[in-house]
Amino acid sequence: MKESRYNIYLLDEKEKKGLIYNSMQRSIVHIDDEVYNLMRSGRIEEISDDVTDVLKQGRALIDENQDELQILKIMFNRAKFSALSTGFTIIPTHLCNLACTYCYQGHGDVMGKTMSTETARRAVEFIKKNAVGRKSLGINFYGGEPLLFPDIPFGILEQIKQFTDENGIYLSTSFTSNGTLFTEEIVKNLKDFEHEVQITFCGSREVHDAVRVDKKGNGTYERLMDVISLFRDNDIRFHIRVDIDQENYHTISSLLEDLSQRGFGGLYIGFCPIGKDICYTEMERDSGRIDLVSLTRLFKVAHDMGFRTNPIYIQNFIEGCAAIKDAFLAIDPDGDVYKCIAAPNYKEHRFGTLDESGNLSNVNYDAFCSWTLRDPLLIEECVQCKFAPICAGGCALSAYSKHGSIMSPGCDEKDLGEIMRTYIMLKHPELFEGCSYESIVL
Amino acid sequence: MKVSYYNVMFPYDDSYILFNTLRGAVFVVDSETREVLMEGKLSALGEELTDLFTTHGIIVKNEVNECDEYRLMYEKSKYATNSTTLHIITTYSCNLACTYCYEGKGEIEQKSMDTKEAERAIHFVENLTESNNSSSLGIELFGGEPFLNMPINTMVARELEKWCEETSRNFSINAVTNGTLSTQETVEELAQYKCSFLVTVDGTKEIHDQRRRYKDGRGTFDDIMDGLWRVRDSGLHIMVRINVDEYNKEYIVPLFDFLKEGGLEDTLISIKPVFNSSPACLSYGYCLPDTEELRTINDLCHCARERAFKTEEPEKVLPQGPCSAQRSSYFTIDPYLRLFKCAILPPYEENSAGLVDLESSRPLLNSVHTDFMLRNPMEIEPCKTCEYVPICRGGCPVEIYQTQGTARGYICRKPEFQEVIQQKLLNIVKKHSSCDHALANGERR
Repeated sequence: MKESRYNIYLLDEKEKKGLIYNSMQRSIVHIDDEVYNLMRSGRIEEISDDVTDVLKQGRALIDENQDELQILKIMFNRAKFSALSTGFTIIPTHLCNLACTYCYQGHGDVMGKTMSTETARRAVEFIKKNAVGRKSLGINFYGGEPLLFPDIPFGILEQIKQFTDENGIYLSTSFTSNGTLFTEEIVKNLKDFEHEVQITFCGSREVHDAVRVDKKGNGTYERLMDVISLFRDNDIRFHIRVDIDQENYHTISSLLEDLSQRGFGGLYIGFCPIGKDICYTEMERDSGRIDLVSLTRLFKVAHDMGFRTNPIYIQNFIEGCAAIKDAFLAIDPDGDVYKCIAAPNYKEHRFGTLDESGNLSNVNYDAFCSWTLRDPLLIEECVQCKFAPICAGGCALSAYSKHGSIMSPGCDEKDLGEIMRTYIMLKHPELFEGCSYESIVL
Repeated sequence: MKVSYYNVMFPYDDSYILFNTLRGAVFVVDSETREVLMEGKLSALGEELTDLFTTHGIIVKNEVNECDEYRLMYEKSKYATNSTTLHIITTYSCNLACTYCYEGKGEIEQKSMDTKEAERAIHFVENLTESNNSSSLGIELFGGEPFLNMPINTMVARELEKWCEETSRNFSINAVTNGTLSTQETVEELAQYKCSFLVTVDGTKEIHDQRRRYKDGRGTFDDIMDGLWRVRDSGLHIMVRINVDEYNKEYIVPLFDFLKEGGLEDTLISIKPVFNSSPACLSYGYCLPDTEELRTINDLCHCARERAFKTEEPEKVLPQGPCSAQRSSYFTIDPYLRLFKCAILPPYEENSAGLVDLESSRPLLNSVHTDFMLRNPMEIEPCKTCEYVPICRGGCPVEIYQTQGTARGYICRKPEFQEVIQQKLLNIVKKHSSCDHALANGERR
């Protein structure tokens, strides 16, 4: 019998309540401070038999000869090479109607191409070929602003829907949009598909209107509120992303209050740090990266105000991101194919280009192999990390920009601990009834 | 551009056979071209050859890392689950006592699946196929002698075929049998499911009856032949498996003639070596005992093809991914509902990769499973840098596991591989000798 390397311990020292969350099994075992102390000090043979049984059930205690790293490796590879589903992110255009001051893409001025009808046709062919025999297909539209020329994404979706209907494949689509261009007509079109929309805020009205501005400098806050009403009236599935840095951090509660007052209380909302890891150009605004402790507090605040939220999605902190999966690819306006949607500014990560028949040509095997073979268990930090089963090495592109190689960690273990604590506490409040947030140690 | 790492060349008359182990492309080249490739002076190739060689991967772009490419292909194939396949051992009992049996002639283990166990096995197979999202399910009835448990064979075939039809999946079934129990009733029963038969015949009656005998010592040849004719008359596919060693090799060609004369010319022929510790492999490609036997098998396959038989062993030499022992879509399941990564690993408990969880009908897997699944020859030192690895894959994982205690080793039979590949390529090239730069089997994966 030994302790699982993937146990995450939480303890409220005052209430003497604790738990073990096993990141590989996603199991939770409730413990008291005595068991906590025995487990932490390696005296597992002193734990009573019935408690040991429970710990074994939750795989917090495992057989001596079990090698969890190896099991994890098979889990990763199964997920990575799973043929069940496939997904594509398409950039219909790099152009954007906004000029947000912190845009990592240089607000459409660094790359400015738009997908031609011919490239869209190639993309459709490519996607069809890759979707044959799968259970489900997901198409995400990204930009620039994907709704700047709505005929492109909806044209693609129509053709693909015909194919998926004929072949019994479940099709879903999502739009990563700034939100300002949604109209009655777009909303109507969207309802023909299984969909999800993400729109972005950046603080209270005052901050948002100074930062997320159109090309003439006009704010977009009120426009987004109208769009949310439109979504609500039409049963559009959507969620809100709020970009956070040190400057807008303290204004978030007024954004949340405003949303609540307008009757948008139960919305799904997520908070993302504004980072500079993968910028196409120097950002015009550099107000400092928010620390993870502060960031996760926002999830707690939103949760307590009745919003739906989940801190585990920070930093792609859930089995890596889709980019680690073999069957997920991104297509840019030139018909260039990448693993990661944020990579088109890094030509060295290009896998190849779509040819007339929708096949990948000019294949860069080096990029292809290194992305597909990225394995967190070949990264020393990840081998040692107890969050590896959930994080899977983090964002590869961020790892590349930080360390010059995608075979390096894209995250920080210390940060992950903070996220996990918030996650568990929000997800299982009943386990910590009577405990205060601050008294719980990791 | 650079020369592929996986080119190998053999002399052929006054020119050379050029073969790429990673792509399976074959060319005949003159000594000049050979030299250009050996020295990597690709500018001297000329436009036409450069194009041709690029298309078939004889030369590749500088940035191409072919080792990674193979490693990735191997890894991907392990987790590809388009098709779920299983060997289902419906009984360990056997009515024969073949001289070279590796399973202990049905005396180590005799357990048969009962209805309850079969129900669980069926449920497990359905769950596995479902979670793999496979579009097809292929099962092989295995033993012991599976026909000693016909009620369960029928139940398994009927239920799984029905389930596949309901869930729009292709279903195929095959019985691995000694052939002595192919009664009219059994053949008719299995014909409903288009079951194909794999029957072992070790040569003509004279030698077969010395090796493959009933428990009382009587020979089985005549009964097997009667059965084969019944199977043929029902329109089912037959594969004849011939286990070859030095004692019966002289009797194989006469068997081909016997089969042909007996109206069994549509039979698929499969020739395997006899091992001491394990039977011949079920997926062709690994089992290369020593040069001599290899040559024998190769020659015999050639003789079979000359007599217009199809052989299980492919005529071409093609790069290979992992065998079923390393695929997440494959298991052998036995009457105890234990799981194995290869049909030749039961009945031994220590070889088991796990068992079926009775509550959830899902697999509970152990470290043997992990060991097999994690093997990748491109992570094994001498294989990593071997130009034959896409063909050889570092040896049979089961043989490695049985001799070294872990599947993550290798058994190197490079000289044997060179020999057999050379022989096969010669046969292929001779067939196509009219072409200048004979492209014999240059299709890409």
